[in-house]
Amino acid sequence: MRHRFVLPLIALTVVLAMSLVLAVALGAEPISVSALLRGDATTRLMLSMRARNVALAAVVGAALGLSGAALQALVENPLADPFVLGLSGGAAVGATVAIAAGLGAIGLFGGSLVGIFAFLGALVATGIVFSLGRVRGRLVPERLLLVGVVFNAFASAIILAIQSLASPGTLQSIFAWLLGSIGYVSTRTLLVAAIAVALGSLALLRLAPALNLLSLGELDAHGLGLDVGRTRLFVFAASALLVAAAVSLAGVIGFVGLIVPHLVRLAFGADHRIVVPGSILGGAAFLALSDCGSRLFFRVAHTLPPVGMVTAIIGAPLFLYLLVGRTRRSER
Amino acid sequence: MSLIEALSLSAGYGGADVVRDVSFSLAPGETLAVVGPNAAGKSTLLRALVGALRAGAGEVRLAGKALASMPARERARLVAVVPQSARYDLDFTVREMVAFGRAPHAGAWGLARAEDAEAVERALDEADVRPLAARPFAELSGGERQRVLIARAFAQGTPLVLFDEPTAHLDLGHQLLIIERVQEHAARGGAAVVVLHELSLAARLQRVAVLDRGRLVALGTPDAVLTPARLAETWGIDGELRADGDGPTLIVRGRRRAAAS
Repeated sequence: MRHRFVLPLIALTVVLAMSLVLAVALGAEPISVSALLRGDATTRLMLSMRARNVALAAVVGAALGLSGAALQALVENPLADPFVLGLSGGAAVGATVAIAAGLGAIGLFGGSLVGIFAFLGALVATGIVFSLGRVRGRLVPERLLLVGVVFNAFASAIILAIQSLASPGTLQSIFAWLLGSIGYVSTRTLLVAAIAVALGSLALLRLAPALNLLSLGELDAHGLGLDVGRTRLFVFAASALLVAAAVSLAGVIGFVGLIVPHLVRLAFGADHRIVVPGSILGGAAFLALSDCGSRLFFRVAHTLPPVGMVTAIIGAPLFLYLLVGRTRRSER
Repeated sequence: MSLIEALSLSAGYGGADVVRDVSFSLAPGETLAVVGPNAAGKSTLLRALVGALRAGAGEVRLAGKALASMPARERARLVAVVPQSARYDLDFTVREMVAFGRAPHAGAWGLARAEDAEAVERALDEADVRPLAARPFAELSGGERQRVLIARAFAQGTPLVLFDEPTAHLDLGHQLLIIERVQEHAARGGAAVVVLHELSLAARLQRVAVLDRGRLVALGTPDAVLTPARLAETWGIDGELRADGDGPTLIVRGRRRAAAS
């Protein structure tokens, strides 16, 4: 049982390492190795800034990939992700409110209040979506997805309302934030976020066997000895923490939570003891490469597109392709 | 001591009781068929017996302990459930599905021990799904899936097993195989509650409980319970159960004229 997952994990770790190296090496400006060896200060600065960007992309990607995997087990539906379920929308409302209220400058634990508000927003969204997604105390996955979609539309409306009331300066920082981009963050912020993501990851790694049972459905999970209500609560909290960390660092980035767990399952099967670590490693690699893609786009177009655009352009067609394949198989 | 005991049990959804005032008990070595027309509350009773549905009134006791206050894992080491159906859009293999039966026995990180692997292999044979072991669960037929769910319950290794219409999608041979396995389970000192529609299969178990509109209207041996009068009253059919040397047979002459509707 144990050795079955060793090779996939090694393979994914290698993929991640290669992606990180590639993402650091490639960018808007090429990094000259000879200049670096000469000890050129500009090159070193560029390298350290890019490395920090790549680290940020990896942390955010890991959080998004993993929260997608956890939420898919939670709502017993492979089409769930933090974006679809409204968690990202809730976090975005929280962050927008914080920025508009001028709380962006207030620091806390090395982060800013925007991050805290994003977390609260994600929690509130989770609470609303999950309480309305129930019928007679039972979670109805289809209903949950519908409520999530409607909640997202509502969240967008609230954000638009705040934007139309905001001053031009505030508007700009809200915009920059909502676009979903891997920008500059302080080392402390990055560290705090990395710790939050690590905690969420550890919790979900520990819950991986329980996620297997949850994904079977409520009745089966109950019959197999899972305390369904309590487990759902833990998975919720961990997912909300991960989404909030990701959203407060990089804004709303779609498709990572949808695509990455799908690909991991396709390659290595549905057991969450591989899907959970696989989505962490795969999510980090996917977003690091997407960010790298957006920097390469700069070379051609001389404008830096938000990384959310890159993930959507890769993710949307890939997702439709996977969906068609899945439907074909279930019809067989 | 009885393995399971229902004491004036009532349960339902959203405040409305679907099952009312049901009492029975099952000792080690006993098998009980639960029969009744559609919407009689058979599946609801099963859910309440395993605590997936909270009792509105009365209580369930497992091995002498109150179900309501029992930790989930402890409960799942006493009673296993074979559901009517399962999600099948998951990419688990048959062996993985059966191995989930070991979940209540597993350690913290879900790692399997030698005895878990043995239980899984034994269960694959018992439910006749070994040839399917490496196949994706999603690609099986309805009857094959049902046998996998039965194998999972066997792998769970509980003294008590509850089956919700385990033979609904099975061919005749496998229907009889499952009933035999239920009898063997009881012979080893276990007990089973089996919800069934097929009365001739129900008559192969030791006792039969008839549910009608949520109430337990008859409980006893198949001969005593499945009388022509009972068939007429509960199912509205004109028929009889014959139990000669060749095993029980249900003779159905037709719908009963006098029956309502």
